Amino acid sequence: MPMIKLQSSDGEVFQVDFEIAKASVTIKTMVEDLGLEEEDEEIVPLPNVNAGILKKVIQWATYHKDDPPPPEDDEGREKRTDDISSWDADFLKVDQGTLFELILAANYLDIKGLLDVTCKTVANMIKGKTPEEIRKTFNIKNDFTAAEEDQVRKENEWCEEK
Amino acid sequence: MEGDQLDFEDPSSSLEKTDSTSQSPTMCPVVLEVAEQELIIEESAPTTDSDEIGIANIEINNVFSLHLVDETCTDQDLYSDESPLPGGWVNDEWTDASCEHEDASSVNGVVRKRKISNSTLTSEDFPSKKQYYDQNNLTHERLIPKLVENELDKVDKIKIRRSCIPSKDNPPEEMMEWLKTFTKWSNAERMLAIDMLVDECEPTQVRHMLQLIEPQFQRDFISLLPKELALYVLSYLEPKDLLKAAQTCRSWMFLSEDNLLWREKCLNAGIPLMEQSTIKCSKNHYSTSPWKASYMRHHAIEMNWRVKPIRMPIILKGHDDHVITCLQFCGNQVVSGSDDNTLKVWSVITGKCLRTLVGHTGGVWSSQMADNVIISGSTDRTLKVWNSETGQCTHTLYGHTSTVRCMHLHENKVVSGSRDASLRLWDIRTGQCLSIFLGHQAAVRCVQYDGRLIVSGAYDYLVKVWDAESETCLHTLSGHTNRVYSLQFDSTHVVSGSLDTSIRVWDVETGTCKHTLMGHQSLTSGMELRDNILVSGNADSTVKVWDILTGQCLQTLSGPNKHNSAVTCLQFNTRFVITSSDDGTVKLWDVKTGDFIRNLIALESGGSGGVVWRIRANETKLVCAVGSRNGTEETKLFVLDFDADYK
Repeated sequence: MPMIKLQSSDGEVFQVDFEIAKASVTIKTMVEDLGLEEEDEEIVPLPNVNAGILKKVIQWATYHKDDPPPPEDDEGREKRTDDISSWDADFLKVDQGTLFELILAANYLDIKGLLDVTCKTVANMIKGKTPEEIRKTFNIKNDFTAAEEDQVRKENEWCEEK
Repeated sequence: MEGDQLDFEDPSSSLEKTDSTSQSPTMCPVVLEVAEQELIIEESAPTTDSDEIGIANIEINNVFSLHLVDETCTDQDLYSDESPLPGGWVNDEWTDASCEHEDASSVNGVVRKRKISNSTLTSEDFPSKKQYYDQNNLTHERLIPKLVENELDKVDKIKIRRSCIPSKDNPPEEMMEWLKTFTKWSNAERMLAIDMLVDECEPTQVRHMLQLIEPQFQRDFISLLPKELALYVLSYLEPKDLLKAAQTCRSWMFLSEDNLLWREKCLNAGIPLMEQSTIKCSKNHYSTSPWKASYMRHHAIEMNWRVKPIRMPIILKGHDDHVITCLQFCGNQVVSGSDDNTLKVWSVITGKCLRTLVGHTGGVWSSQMADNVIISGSTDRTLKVWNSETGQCTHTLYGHTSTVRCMHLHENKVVSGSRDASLRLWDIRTGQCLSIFLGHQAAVRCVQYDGRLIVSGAYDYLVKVWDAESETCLHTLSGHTNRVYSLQFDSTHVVSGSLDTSIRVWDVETGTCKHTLMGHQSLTSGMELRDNILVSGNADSTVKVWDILTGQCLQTLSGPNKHNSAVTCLQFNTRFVITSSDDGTVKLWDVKTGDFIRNLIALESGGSGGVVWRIRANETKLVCAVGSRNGTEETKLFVLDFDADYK
């Protein structure tokens, strides 16, 4: 099985099955552009991903290696966040710092499935909360003046059915 | 202890006393240093400005060696300080004093040290806390020395100093050294130091640590992620969560107002971009997204329909005690046709009757309206074309030999159906009769025209499809076993409602019956078809929602809040069905769930003669024609407004 070597920003080298690494469009393109062959000892440098995060990404890609490609975003279709698999939910039980890094890594490596599920996870952390609860969740400082806050609240009032 | 004297003049509580003791100059560093790996505890000679009380002084070295206080300093002394938290002693004078104090000790050579052990640990080792204590034959409590201050003349100083809180800008000197030492250590040493530090802490201090540490694991994703990723996260939120997000802080508000984000929300909900002129914004408005404004206004309108108190309707009185037979609503104008031989043009803004169209010599039973043209059909066998601006009759269309009962306008051509069993196609600009369609054996009751094909339903139980151009009958749709009263036609399907209680769906090209919709128990009086969804109102007092492709009945609008009498008229959009009835009510239903929402109108005379004959609605307004045949309810129009400004 062809393997590929990936080097994290902090110098660690990971040997990964190319079929798994291909989940990353960035890596796939790099390999194709470089014309890397199976027996090449070439190392693909990933200067934007540290070893800890790269390890998580590889773990995710390994589990999802047989997944069908994620559907294209379809305008006009409502986006769901309640369809996260239990494996992904467990996988993403990490601190916010790690989740943050995973989003950046998924974006840089262009892994749509991982980007979607991480962004959905953050969205779920926001959903159903009051502004104050959101601030508390993400350690956000309320930088509105009292008058502004009042105005913003009025503008964003949502009339509920019941 | 003479330390108590420090608080001699202080009327505060005993808790304060403990604090003041702990505020003595070297106390805090001592406790913190316990966690460090090298420390020398000395018993120093009294300083120049202190009395005979021994002061444990501590030095920090970069070697792993430990020195313990001389036996002269008892355990009790070591324990006596309860609260090692630094108080208010960060003061240059104090720092100076403590330095001076140290200097004095070493210079005078009165420091007595007793080395307990020499550790050979290097920074590469992983010193465990237990090892550390074991090696040194210590319990960590013994490392806490007792420190006492005594001088009466210091009391005032301390009072002032106590109000001075140590801060990052003004830390005690020893603390900086302590930190410097910490930073020199290896990771493993630091880990151990932290372990030991935590062990030494009081619960309140650990809690303080937690508060410091917790935010380190939090990320303000929306503010810190690149904009496109933050927006991608926000795109997963529903509108109501987006509105909450906008209220958290400025950067969240900025992103939550993103116009494309709201465009997506509008597309998902099928909400069009409203004209800017219809969105009334106050001057100090933060939101700049037209799509968001459209969404918000749309939602506010929906809530006005669903739950908000219904505003007082505008009442348009006219036609005396005659029946309103037909109703048109276009722009801001309403046209009511009556069996009093007239039509009236009303403004729904002012509630004024703008014009009364007089000329027919029999009751008006059908009408159509487009822009500024009104067409009416009467029992006087004519159609009349009116200019709604001037109220003038521009053409009278003669030809039918009996009542003109139905018509359908398409661009500048109108098709009329009559009790004389014929249909006629007219040019409304010239008033010319273009064609006559003969074939029905009885009165034509309903007609539809899409510009190419004409579909007619008649009392001969038949539906016919005609080609307007060639004036030929393409299909005769037979199957109904009673009079056909209502028709819908979307250029693909013909849907016919009959007194035989069934509704039939036909393929207009082949003329075959695709479905027979069974379920109603009486005459289907009104129907509306859009995007293959059919809503039918029946004299059995129920309303049904159908999928005409499958022939399935999706919903039956009935239940405890159902109409008590025949359904007279209905209209629906993507959210609601509005129905009117002979029971004097207008009801609002959820088209998706089939749930009753509420009564929009409920006449007091309902049940005793008051009826709602016709309704017409647009997105924000509902017009109802009400009255009675027995004089209990005066004939009039109600105009209900559900419009909303986006604040």
